[in-house]
Amino acid sequence: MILIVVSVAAGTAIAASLVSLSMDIERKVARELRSFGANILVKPKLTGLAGIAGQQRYLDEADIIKIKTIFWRHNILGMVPFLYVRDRDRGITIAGTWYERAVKIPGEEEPFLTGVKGVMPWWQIDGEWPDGEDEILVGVSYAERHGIKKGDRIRLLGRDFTVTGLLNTGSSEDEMAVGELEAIQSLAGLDGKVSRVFVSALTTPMDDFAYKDPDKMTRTEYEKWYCTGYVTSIARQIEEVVKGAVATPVWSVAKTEGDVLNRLKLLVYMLTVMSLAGAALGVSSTMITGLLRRRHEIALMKAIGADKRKTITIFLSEALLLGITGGIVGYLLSLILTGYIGQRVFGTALEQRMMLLPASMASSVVIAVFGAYLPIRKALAIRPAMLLRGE
Amino acid sequence: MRGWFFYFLRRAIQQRMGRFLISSFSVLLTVSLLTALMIISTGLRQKMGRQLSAYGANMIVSADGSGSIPIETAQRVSALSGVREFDYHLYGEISLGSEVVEVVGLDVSKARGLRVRGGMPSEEDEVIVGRMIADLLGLKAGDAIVPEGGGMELKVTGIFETGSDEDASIIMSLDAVRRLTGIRGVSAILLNVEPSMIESMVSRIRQDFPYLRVKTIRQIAVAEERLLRKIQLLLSLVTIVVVFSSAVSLASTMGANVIERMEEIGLMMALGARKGDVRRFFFYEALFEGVAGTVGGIIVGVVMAEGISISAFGSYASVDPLYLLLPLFTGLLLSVTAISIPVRDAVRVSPSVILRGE
Amino acid sequence: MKEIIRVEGLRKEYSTTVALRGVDMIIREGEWLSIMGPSGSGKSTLLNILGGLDRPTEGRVIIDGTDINDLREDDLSVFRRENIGFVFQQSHLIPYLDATENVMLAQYFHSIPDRAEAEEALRRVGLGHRLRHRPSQLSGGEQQRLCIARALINNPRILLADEPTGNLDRANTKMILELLKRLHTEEHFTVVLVTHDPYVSGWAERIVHMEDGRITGDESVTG
Repeated sequence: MILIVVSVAAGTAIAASLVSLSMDIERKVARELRSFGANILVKPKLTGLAGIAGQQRYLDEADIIKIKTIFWRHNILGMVPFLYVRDRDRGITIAGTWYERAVKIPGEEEPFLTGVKGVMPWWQIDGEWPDGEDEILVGVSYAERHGIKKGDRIRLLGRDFTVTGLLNTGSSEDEMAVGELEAIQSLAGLDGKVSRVFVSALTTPMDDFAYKDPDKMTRTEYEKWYCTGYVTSIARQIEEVVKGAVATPVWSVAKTEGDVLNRLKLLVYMLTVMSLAGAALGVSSTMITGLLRRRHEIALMKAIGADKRKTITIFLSEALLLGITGGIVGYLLSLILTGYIGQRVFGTALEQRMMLLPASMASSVVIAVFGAYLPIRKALAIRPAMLLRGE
Repeated sequence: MRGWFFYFLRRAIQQRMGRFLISSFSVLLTVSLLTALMIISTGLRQKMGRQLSAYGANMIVSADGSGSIPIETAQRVSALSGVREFDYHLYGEISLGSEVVEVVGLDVSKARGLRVRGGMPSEEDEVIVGRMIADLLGLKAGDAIVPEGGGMELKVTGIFETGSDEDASIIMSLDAVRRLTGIRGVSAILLNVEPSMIESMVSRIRQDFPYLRVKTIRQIAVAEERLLRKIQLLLSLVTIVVVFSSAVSLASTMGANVIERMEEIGLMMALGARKGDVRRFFFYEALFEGVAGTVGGIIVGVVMAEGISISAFGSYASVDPLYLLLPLFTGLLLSVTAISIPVRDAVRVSPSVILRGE
Repeated sequence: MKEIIRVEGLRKEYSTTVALRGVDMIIREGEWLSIMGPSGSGKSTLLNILGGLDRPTEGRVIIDGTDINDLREDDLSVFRRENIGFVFQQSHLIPYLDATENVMLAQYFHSIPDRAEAEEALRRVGLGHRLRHRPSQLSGGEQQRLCIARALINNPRILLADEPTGNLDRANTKMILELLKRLHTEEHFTVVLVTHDPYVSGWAERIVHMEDGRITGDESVTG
């Protein structure tokens, strides 16, 4: 009997955990995928080919915080400004950026923490992150060629910096020096200006609808597109708040991200269905064997005059009780399980859904009652005398 | 003597076919879930890796200094084991009127992360133009451009957008770039390498090809490894939990069977059977149930795994027979244990207690 | 007649009750002994201990010179299959085996099954027409006859019967007892039969009365 409750509870626990897992997996993995880097790049609008050739245009730093005020502001996980300045004497580009900064957002109590540390987690520093205006990072490739080591003093843009660490990112920053945004702005005489903003946003995978040209949409379509968290609609909303900017999705990231997400979601859904079916069948077979054992009891009841209906009622209410107990225990177990799995895999617990309690109870009751019904029917079909005699 | 043992065993199984099937079925369930989950989670690394490699190359090999890599060398590098995908790039510049524009030669069919409006190029003289260039020069699909000194006309089949600096370049086939610039070989080899092999691949290339520069793109490599680890951990935890729960129902199903047959056990003891005789009887029965359930379970599991793999990843999962050993042993061990423990307890009960009856 | 079972100072305590409070008795070879008493008098417990299905708390049971308390579990099983046949009130037949096979199972645990011998034994108890029937297809009387055939198939020296007719009507009871009587006369095994029914105990050569875990009377029936 205890084993049956355990098996009903275990089955329910699996079912409830997998359902809450599959409901949460998209958000969790989407967040994980953000470690692939920014998926929206905000640049100043270009007006001539001269822009490509090198004549720089800039965005206003003051506009950056507005990105956190768009319709999909809660999906903006981070934004990092970069200002690129060339030091012709040394032949190096100096980038000014936010390492990690608490930004005050209008209308929000809590400051928003953002910077390269969060948005570009693959940045590897051999040494220390700079702390203060006169400290700087130098890219490994440049440092290697010029024999620069951490701790060295280096003169850039007419000012002496201490190199606190060598930066290894595997891309263009390896050839640059990276310093505090304000310091670089003032040295370059570009106060309040930035060249680019990298935005990391949680997005809804692109579907066929998302690829339609927003300018050719009907009003309702446009409304729907605008209010869905596609990377394109978020980019559009960013363009609306940042003056003179083009926000383009980084397609190599955005497209694959959606693809990976869709496939994983499908995978988890199918595993859930498979395990649910498995749990249901397992519990029913347990119920069936459990009740087959008690055929004597069923026959006895029939023998002492209980009619079929009454006998069925008695045993089914027992199964009902079993299902309810198993359902509650299973739900509680699933809380522990999802908590553990979420913590272990994603570092945060999966969202607990109260609605799963009635759902898991209902399903375990249905399974228990169904599992009980068949053997009861079978037992009732046999003549009591035969059973009591010892068959 | 042995013959008679199996004679009675066969009778027990034949006449109790229903119970035999239920027990085998509960083994089948556990084994099939374990098999399917194992195949999926071991194949996941490879399959997800293929998806993730769409994020782009995680390693770039280029010539030391300026100049290009001879095509033979490039082929040797891309044939190294651990390379999941490779792509050759050839960079050059062409003059369009007064402007100098960067051109990239690559295998367009392998290019990822491009969003193209219009058609993809298929002929040697067909190109796609980056959005920035297109905006500035007012180019659209169907236009023709004539680079200076190349002696060939290029047809624009589409406008592409990547979101990064490549939007200021023109993409065409490798051969077209060779003809326009006269450069032989390739400028860079973009590799997508199994994340776990990146370190060894770097030192291998540095040793075998000292004149090449190798750079790993940390952004891709780090993120991919991290994500794959998490997904795999997730699947392993799910596997453990699912298998545990179905093992519980297996134990209760088969355990209930023993309790049902307590009378039989007591009777055998009264007839002079030793504990070992009784245990042997049930052990073999469990073994047969285990074998039937395990074989069925592995078959069902493989079918389920293939079904899932095809619908989620569009390709068959490869089944390493070695991975089937675990479900095989688990199935047999579980069924034998699920019977042996209650039987061990049952033969300890004095037969007089069992046979006293109701 | 030679003594075959000797019981000395037998006590059996269960967790809350005492079933036997010091029983001494001697049973001779070839004897037909009935143990009579109301339910709860300890007669079934005594029988189970005699057959080695249960162990006493105190006291000794010596069967043919062997103190069965000294035997280990498995040796006790061997001893049981060599010397003792059981018939219970419930028939305790294996439901998935037919009549012949039920007898053959007893042969199997003893030595080697022999179908012809098993069928012959069933014919002797009048079940020649029921060889392939399963227990559920047999009447109560037929089931008990099958049990007798099974108990005697290995030629035990002692037959222990616990209310063998408890579930049967008078006609069937008579038939079973007549069968037992005939086999007993032919084969000279010792019978120890527990019953609460004076009619059944009346068939014995000697009746031991029990009450509250003690022997309260021992009479020989001359018939």
